Amino acid sequence: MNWKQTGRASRSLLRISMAEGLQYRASAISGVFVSVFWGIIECVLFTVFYTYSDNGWNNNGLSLEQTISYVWLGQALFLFQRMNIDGELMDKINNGNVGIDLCRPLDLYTHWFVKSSAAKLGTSWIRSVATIGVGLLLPAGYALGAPESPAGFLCFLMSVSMAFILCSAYAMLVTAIRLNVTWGDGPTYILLLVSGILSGTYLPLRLWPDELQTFLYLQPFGGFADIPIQLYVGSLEPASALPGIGLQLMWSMIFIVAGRIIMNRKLHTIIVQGG
Amino acid sequence: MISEVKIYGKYLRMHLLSGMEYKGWWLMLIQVFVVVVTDPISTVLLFSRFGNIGEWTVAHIILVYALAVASFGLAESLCRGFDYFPWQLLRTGEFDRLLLRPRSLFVQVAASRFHLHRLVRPATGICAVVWALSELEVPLSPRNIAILVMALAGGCIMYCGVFVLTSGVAFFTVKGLDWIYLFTNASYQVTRCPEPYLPQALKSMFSFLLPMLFISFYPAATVCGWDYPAWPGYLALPAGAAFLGCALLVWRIGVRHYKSTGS
Amino acid sequence: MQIELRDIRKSFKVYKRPEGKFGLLRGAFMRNVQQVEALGGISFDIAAGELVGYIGPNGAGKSTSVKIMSGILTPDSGECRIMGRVPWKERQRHVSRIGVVFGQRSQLWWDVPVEDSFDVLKDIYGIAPGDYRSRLAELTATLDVESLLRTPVRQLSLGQRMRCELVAALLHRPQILFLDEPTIGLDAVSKLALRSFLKEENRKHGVTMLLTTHDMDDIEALCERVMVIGHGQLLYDGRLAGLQEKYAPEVTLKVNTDAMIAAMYSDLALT
Repeated sequence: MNWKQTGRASRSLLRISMAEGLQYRASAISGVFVSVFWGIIECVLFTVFYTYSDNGWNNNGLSLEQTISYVWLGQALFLFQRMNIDGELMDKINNGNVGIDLCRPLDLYTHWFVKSSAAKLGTSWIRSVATIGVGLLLPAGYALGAPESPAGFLCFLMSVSMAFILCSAYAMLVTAIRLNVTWGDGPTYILLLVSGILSGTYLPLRLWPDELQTFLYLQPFGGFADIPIQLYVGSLEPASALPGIGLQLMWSMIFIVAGRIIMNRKLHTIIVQGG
Repeated sequence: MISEVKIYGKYLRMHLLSGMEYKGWWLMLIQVFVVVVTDPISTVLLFSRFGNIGEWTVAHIILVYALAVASFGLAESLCRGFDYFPWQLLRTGEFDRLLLRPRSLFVQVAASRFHLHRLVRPATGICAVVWALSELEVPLSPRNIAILVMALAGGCIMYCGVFVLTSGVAFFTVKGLDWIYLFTNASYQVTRCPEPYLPQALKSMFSFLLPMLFISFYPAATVCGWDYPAWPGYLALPAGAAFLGCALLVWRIGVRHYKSTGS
Repeated sequence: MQIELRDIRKSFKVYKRPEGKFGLLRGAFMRNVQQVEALGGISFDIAAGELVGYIGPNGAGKSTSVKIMSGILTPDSGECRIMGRVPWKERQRHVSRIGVVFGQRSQLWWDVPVEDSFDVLKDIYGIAPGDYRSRLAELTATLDVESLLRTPVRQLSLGQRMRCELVAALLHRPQILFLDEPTIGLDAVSKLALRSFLKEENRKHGVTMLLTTHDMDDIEALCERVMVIGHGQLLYDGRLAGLQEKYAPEVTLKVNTDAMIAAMYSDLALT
């Protein structure tokens, strides 16, 4: 594999997907609309539970303000998890067009890794930035708060980049599995759903039952959103950033290796349907 | 009309036949089951951590929520094709083919996809409604059953309207269609919040823009005898029909605007 | 006249990105909308039973006009009457009298046997059972597809599929058949078979055919009359021979390459 060539290919792939992302203004606007709306519903719900419920104190060290910040960042980071395999790559597999990609002078894994992560970034960055912007501008009760500390913010940024790689690696693993399954996207769908739930975007992991907390910390999907966001809101100290990011790194490696093995092992036995 | 129903049945048979040609269709059942089970998980977990909100227990919320989800699931099963329309039929030009057939477009699009496993969602939704009612010790009297059936039918019609609206708008923009998510999967999330605590703006939006509360909360309140006027509980059908009517209008304008792709 | 078009116009909007260094970014905020004229006033008549070739370069407006005539698209202005009906206004009644074959798209259900697709089409077009049986028997016999009826469509070769597509398009005895590049990608033998079938169908049942193609051999073999379209305008409408006299008077002899290849295939017992 030629690194220089791969780098150049990634650059142009990123450029083209950025162009696509900008082209479809309406998509970005309506996307932000959805994220903000969803965020507001979540904020309302958490406010109700924190304020009026019988055990409002039982929040496991995550105050209402922190939870609301969590919601907004969660909306922004959730876009990393959106998979492109249900679009283009899935079509390719279904139509047997995967052959076209096999003809490109790039290693298939690298090619798709770069392509899907570029597509992810290119089409979602506007939406993420705008959602965070709106979150900052909302009236006090529902607004995204400032980071806990400058150090925490720095750790947050590092952890976010790691989360992006982790999400891409996971997406590739799911794609590789999808490649081996000629009958429907059931298994991959379940995988995506489970990862989404365990990432904390639906409900901050801290608010899950206490007895699950150790498991929730160690499982890979917390690295998608929960670890970076907790670093931001301060429910994880900057001191625990290193193990957190280390955990993300470890799971990324595992996903990449597993994805590569599965993809390469089965590549020559793909049953290309139709075509 | 009768022949359209027959065509719909024929299409469904076709989909079932081609579905069986592939292995692993039963995996789809598991898939939807996972979706259905995980859907309310965050609500249940929130209740288990924070306890009840005044009078509102998890059963109250599940009742309202399950009504909404079940009608969504019904619409999704019957009008699955509309759900796929913008991304598959329209983009690939498959819609051309439907226009070339001497049958109602509505039936053809609705039946252009069918997935048996989608029925898992309404089925579990209805089970959840029954569970919640027994938990709240509300009897299943004929009157209550009638109200619930009307709520489900109205909700199904309303969500069909949502799908038709999506497809109608898709004629103008496919990429800018994400907002429709507010009307589909996001819309029933709003029922997770106890109605008395819902901000007024959201209440109005989900009564008048999308008559969500009329197909979930008000019927539930009437059935359980909560402290609300009873009459809104009977309005599910007209509310759903009104929404579908507006959606069909958009659909019609859209068809006239159709630009076929490819050569 | 069976088909009448009067001054049909249709244009599409095309979005263009602004030029220059920051074109990408500026494109997000402003748009250059351009109206591209696909059809700039097309008029012609076709009588019942005619076999007309419709040619022109890619993007000339062929597909657009065929789509208007088959009721898929609504034109911006102009009149179009086919068998006395305006296609986009009386869509259902109009399309039950016409058949359309797209060379690059299938109207058969991909995963089920061909026969099942025909069966659904029977109900869609409301064909009487007796008529359906006799018509199906006739078509399958002439197109030689009886043996394929129980095969799922996805397992057919392109040539086999195309023949089944023709059966599907003609089951309901349409009076007009629109063919959009029906021979694209077919081998010589299949092409010849297809052509002779179309000719026969036209002669026996008087089906009017409008054939869009890039394959001039198709036109030569089938069509007396040719219409040439370019830039949304009708440039030529007349006999094929007239076109030859005008643009290639010196060509006197032409080898029919398809016939040659087909002879070779059968000589080598490839089919």
